[in-house]
Amino acid sequence: MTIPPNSLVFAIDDDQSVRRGLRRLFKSAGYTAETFASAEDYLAREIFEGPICLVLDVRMPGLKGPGLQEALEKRGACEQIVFLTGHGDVPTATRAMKNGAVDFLTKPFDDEELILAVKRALERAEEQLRRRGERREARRRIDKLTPREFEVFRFVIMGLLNKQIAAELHTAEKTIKVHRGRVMQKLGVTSVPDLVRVSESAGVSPARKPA
Amino acid sequence: MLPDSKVRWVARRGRVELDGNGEPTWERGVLMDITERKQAEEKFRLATEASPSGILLVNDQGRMVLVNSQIEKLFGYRREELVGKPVDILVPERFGSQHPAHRATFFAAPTAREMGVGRELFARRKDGSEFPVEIGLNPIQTPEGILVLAAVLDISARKLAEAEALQHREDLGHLSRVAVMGEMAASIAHELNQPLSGIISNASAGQRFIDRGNVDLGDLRDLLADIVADGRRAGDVIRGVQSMVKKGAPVRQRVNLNDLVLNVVRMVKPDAVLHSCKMETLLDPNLPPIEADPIQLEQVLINLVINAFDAMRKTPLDRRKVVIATERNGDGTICTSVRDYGVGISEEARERLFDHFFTTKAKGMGMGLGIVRSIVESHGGTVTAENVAVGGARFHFTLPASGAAL
Repeated sequence: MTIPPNSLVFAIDDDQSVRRGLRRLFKSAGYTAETFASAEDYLAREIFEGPICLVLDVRMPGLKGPGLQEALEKRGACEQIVFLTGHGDVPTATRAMKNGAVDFLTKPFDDEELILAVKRALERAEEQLRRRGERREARRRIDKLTPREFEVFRFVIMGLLNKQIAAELHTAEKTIKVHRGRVMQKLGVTSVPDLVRVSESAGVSPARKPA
Repeated sequence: MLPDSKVRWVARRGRVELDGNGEPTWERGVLMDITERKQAEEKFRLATEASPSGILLVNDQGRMVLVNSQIEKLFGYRREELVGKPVDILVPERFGSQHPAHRATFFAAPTAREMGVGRELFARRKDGSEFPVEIGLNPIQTPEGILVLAAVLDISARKLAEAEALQHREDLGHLSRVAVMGEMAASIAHELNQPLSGIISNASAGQRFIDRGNVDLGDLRDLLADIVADGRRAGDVIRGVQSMVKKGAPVRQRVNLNDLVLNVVRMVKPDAVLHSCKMETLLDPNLPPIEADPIQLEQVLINLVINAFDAMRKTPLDRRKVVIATERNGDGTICTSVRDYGVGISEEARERLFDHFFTTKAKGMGMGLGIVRSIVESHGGTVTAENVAVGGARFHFTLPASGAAL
């Protein structure tokens, strides 16, 4: 079992003995874990930039549910959540899973199951972090384009030829060819498929929906 | 037939005079116009036929002189099979022996009334099956003496509806008990899950550390100490639940067990009627008082009696009986027993009978006898159960009399 490098497990539970048990369990499985008595305590911690698995008790005191979700999003750390609950509470479980929880385990949980859930959560957090990095990079490069270049970029990713783009923009085909060259250079790509990938990472849509 | 072609009924009474050779010569007598009487009888017949109830006319010999078609339908006899026969053939055998006596009492002072007020009345069909009835009695003066007009109403449908309503009420009661148990279970579950989670986490962490071969004995000692602490904590939760169930200082007051038994018999009467079950008491008149919580002891008796009813669902109606008895044991203790004529206690059930959550009933919670034992033991007593050789079971609990050493 490979553990995503530079990742952390944070467990929030108001019960000290549960916290100590969880900390030891994660440590024994090779994870680095920190525990908190409440969501507020966790939010007060310095933001960790790597992949995070958050292990939460549904019945923990203080902030929970949508309020916690919102606070976590605003904070912007890259966490995936595994919920623990004292009692098989189906509505809470359903809501948690809808809100993107990786897993929902009933206390007393099976240690293997919990470790597996944490692993899945960290893998997902790592993937999320990677996509987030790509998006940030793509955005950074796209921001360097001039408005005209950006316009041409959106026609190129539609799949239009230089001649067609020139007709759309009422200019010479030669001019478009120059713009296209600069776009490729600024975005650091050499082919149209790579260009499309960058647009997708950054969330830039084509000028019009491809026919 | 009259000259105006109207038909009139006549009764002729007379005697034939014979000549010397024994041949009839003439008849001497009277001819009476009985048209009015005949018409009245006809009206009466039509009226009885039109009645939605079964109608019987019985003479002072207890024989049926008239039945309507409703009676034929209700009982499955044809009219000619009934007229002239004793009315007792329509009464189930188990009541049959008392019936002539009841009838004699009625004829001695005939007044219109309902039969068997406060009792469950049953009638017997030709095929021997029984059905619950209500019977109204009306004495009628006739030239042939007093006749009794009995109106018989089949109340099977009503009884069924009543039974269903009671069942519904029982189901609701069961549901609310289950709901309360559910809530309690949820909060107990949370309280227990915390230390259990701690124990599992710590123990499985310990296993991993050992498997990896880099175990630090000091860490392991701390880990095991946490497991012990969590185990103790779980024990405290259980003890907390037990004391919550016991709740507060026990109530102890002077109680006469006989009064308590009679009180319970009154309380369970509606259920007894519904289960067509007789209730009997055999009470020791010289019972000393005991120190007890009367409400709890009533609970004990009610649980035992309800179980007795349930055990007799397959017992024939005429054998269904619960006998509650009290007696002194001679050693300062009092024995109270509840005996039924039901299915008895199976070998498998015997050992776990008084365990909480053990039940043989489809919808049972397994709480009844567990509660019985808890209450009896909290009163310094013991409870036991046995099968009776001739059928059924007997539960008895023994309690120390007031002043006796516990």
